[in-house]
Amino acid sequence: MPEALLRVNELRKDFVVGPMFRRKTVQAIRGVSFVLNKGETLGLVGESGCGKSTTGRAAIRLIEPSSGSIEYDGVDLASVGARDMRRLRQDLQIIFQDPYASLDPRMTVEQILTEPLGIQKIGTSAERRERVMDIIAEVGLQAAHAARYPHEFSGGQRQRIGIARSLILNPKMIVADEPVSALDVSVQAQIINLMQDVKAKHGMSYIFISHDLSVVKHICDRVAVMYLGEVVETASRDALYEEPLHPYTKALMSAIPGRRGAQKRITLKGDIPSPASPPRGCAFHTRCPSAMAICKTTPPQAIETGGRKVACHLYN
Amino acid sequence: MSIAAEQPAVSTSREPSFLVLLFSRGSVIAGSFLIALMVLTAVLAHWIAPFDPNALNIANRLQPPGSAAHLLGTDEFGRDVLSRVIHGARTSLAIGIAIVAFAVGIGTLIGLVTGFYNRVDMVLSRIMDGLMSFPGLVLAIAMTGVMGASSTTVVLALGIVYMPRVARIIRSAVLVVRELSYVEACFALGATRFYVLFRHVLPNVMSPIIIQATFIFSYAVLGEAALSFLGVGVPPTQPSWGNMLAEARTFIVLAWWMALFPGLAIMITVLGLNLFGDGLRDALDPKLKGR
Repeated sequence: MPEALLRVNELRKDFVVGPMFRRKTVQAIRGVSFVLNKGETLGLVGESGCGKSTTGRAAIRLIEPSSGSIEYDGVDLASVGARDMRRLRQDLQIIFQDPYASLDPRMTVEQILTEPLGIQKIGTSAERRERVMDIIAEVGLQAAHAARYPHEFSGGQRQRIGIARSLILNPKMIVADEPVSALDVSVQAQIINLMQDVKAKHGMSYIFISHDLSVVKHICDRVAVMYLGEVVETASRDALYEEPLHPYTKALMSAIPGRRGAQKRITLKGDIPSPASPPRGCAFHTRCPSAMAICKTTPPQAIETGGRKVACHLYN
Repeated sequence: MSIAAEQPAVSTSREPSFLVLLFSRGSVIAGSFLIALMVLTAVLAHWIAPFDPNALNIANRLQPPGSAAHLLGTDEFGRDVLSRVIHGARTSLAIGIAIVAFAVGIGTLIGLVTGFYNRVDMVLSRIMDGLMSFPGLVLAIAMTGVMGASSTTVVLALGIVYMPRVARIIRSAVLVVRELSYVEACFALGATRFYVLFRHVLPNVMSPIIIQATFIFSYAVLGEAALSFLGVGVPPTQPSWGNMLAEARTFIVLAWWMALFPGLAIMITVLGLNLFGDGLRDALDPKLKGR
């Protein structure tokens, strides 16, 4: 039985948007629950605007969740005090999508990598420097790069610096928010390999947020599929790619180009509904090819079947 | 895994120091030369001015430049224009620097706070809007009316007039920077908001701050001129480029030199500051290093 590292329960995040007197509430995530096991890579997939990134950030409280609990190491991250949270952040790191915006242009690589140790007050300056040089080598950069500024590097190299920054505090888990989607395909493979190498060495867990199902299949152990702020299906990678259960997952899978033994492509009609006014019943019923009468009125409960979870009336 | 293809050329030379970097720019050299010229003039005014700036000589009034030992001519009371321009450098530079320090110092602080802390933004930004809704000179005149005409009043009044503009520009720059991933990354590392604000946000809004500082200096010199012209600025016994211009206006057809030379002094100072400010901004930006 795998040991849980992070247990997210009924997490919600509402954003209040719009000008005064015409304020609307956008429900970015609407009761998301999942478990991240130790040493595991959990994929979080879904189309743009489904709340993947919000979920990833709320899980390490970079965004304050509106309600719900995040159980980590015996504490509820959602209710821990600010000072304790800052200390806990050593364990919970994040890698960003845009390697151009994620590094301060006014700091050298060495300053960028020393900063986490300074903030968490770890080591003497000699120890910090040694640690920085180690990590620079570990992510495949050279010692001479330490004195350079971010703009002197390519996208792939910047992403290596971003990974180095997230690694330097020896975190227990890293949220990777589309870490390769801004990179060339050849560089993507290098960065994915690097992420797998450092995980093999340090044994941390990843929450890997992506819309690229091929990448997710390559790196993830389990996958949670999100639609309009909800997790509709959670399963092991093999089970999900062999036999997707939820109609939305099926549609996603059929859209992977060049898939072996591909069945007919399922085309979803219409757009993703606005998260400001999600549909009643099952959020997916407006676009679901197998929608039934009950789907319009009652939201489906997630049920467990054979080690996987699916929220669809077809399986009740 | 091969990453040889993404390596930039490895440079082994030591990074040049910031000052070397700064003064490798032609604009910085030219700018600092002009500023140094003005500052030296102000400091050495007592020794280099040929006449007492307030010595009246009615017999020699409104003499054109080059006549009777008056290199730049005399004004309507026969006072030596050159001496007044030299002594005016003291007042004008001091007032300009003080106004810039006041407006940019407080404006930057308010801009950082309103851009970064949503809670205070609503209140502070409305106060700034309120200050900006007054026409600048009217506000300054009202303040001198309350506090009496003096250099200190001019600095306070113009400082308060220009401060909200700085605050608003810095606020908008902060709003952009605070959404960037490196700010979020720093929070993820466990930094406090205060740390992020001064370690990451402030350095990345330096460019607009420097540009504002050089602009405001020119506005300040002109604003002081306007207040002096209206009789609520620096008293005429203390020559400033502003009150010289103000007096010269009446005689512009008769004695063009009265207006030209203080005007040139303002222009040279502002030019020097802009050249220096541009160079400083570029030297502070690592992306433009070595260009």
